[in-house]
Amino acid sequence: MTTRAGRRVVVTGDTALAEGVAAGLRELGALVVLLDAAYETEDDVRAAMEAAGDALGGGIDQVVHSWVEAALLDARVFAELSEETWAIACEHTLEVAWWTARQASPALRETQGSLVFLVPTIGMAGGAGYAMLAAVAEGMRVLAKGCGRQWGTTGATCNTVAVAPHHWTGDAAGAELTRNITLSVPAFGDQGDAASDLAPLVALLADDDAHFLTAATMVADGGTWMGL
Amino acid sequence: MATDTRLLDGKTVIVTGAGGGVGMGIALACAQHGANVVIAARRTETGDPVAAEIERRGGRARSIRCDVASHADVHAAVDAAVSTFGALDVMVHNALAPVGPPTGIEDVPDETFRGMVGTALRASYLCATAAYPHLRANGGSLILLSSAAGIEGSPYIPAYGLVKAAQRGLAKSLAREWGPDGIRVNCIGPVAMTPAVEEVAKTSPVFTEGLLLNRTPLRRIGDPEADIGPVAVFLASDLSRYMTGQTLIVDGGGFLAF
Repeated sequence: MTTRAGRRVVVTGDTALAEGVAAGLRELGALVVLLDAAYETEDDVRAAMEAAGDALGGGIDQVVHSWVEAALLDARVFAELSEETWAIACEHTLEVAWWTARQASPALRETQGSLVFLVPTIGMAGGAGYAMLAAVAEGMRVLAKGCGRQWGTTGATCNTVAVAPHHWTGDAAGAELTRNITLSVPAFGDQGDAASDLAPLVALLADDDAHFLTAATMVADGGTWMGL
Repeated sequence: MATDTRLLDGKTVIVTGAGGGVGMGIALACAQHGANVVIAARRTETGDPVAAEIERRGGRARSIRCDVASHADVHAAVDAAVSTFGALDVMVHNALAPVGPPTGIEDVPDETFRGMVGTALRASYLCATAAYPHLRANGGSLILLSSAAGIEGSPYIPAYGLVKAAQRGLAKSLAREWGPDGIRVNCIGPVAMTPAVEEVAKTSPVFTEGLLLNRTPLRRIGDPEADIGPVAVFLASDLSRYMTGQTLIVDGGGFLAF
């Protein structure tokens, strides 16, 4: 656990969500590197994580994982999905999350750092047309629980921030998915901006105040899904 | 287990991994309730005796060799159900590769991880897509065997928790997507004494130190046919006609969440 000024953070993914969270964390004083990896093999992730640690001055305090295969971001009729698409989009995305946890572990154990998975709430609520994204989301969320359980004695934590689906699917699809999640409008009237609304929660998870929080899921979607 | 109520009369059910353990228990229970059962097992040496037992008890069954991670094998199992019994009403995907011994996430062999992805995730995709046209035609049901570990994570076998959770996310989404087609999709999270569990029980403190039993209100480990089978029958039957997207944890009360 560290103070926010100068905290060394790696963010994975190249979506507006990843860039927004990275920007928000920088606003809060963190040094942030977007992981530059090919994501084809676990060695790619290992090398990229080592390079990121070097770029951050020799250590990593927090890894924020949001990377998904681009094919997950579009609505698809499940019955028409090819096996190849399933393998590339769903299985490979989970494989990369698995690799990221394994390759972030050494650095985070050393710094008693924080691993955070960003997932859409449809993992918990289901999403018609987005079965692959939902499967990935839920798999990552429970991977986080397994890591949290296993890393506890080292002081490293692993948590999930579950956010509104539009951060992956775009506004129109996200609105449709949200309408199927709840009959009411979000409590805050909107479902959150990555930089101003989500980044502070991500930062919180690496703060000293959160040292006793692990394997948890924080739902940050403006008060939409309330299934817990 | 005798029953006067035949909840699955006229229905045809495929059960993967039905050569033993929970799969066999579900197959036997479904047959007891009148279902035609296709035993889809990786080896016919284990599947054939289950089909024979169903027939010995007066039911109808067919055994087919099936590697659940194989597109050809899964589609062949569906074709076998339709050609033998005329239809497919329920697909139960239960099979899973060996989960391996307890280990840290960093030390899980690639082969173990890929085996679980293949038999849990790829197989779920294959079973769902192969069965879909038939389930749609018959107002059928897809049942995925998940686990409480897919909700609370596993400190011992982290990849297992990952794939079991992914199956639940998939099931909820398919429940939403296929509901308008009249197809229900649900999960079961069982705890039962199977040959695989018996092997683990010899050395795992969860069993040797009574940790599991102590947290199980019903103070016993489930029986695949008598305890898990009936829940699968319920989900496959019209009794659960208004239920979809759910996970039923069948473990004697060991895991109590939300």
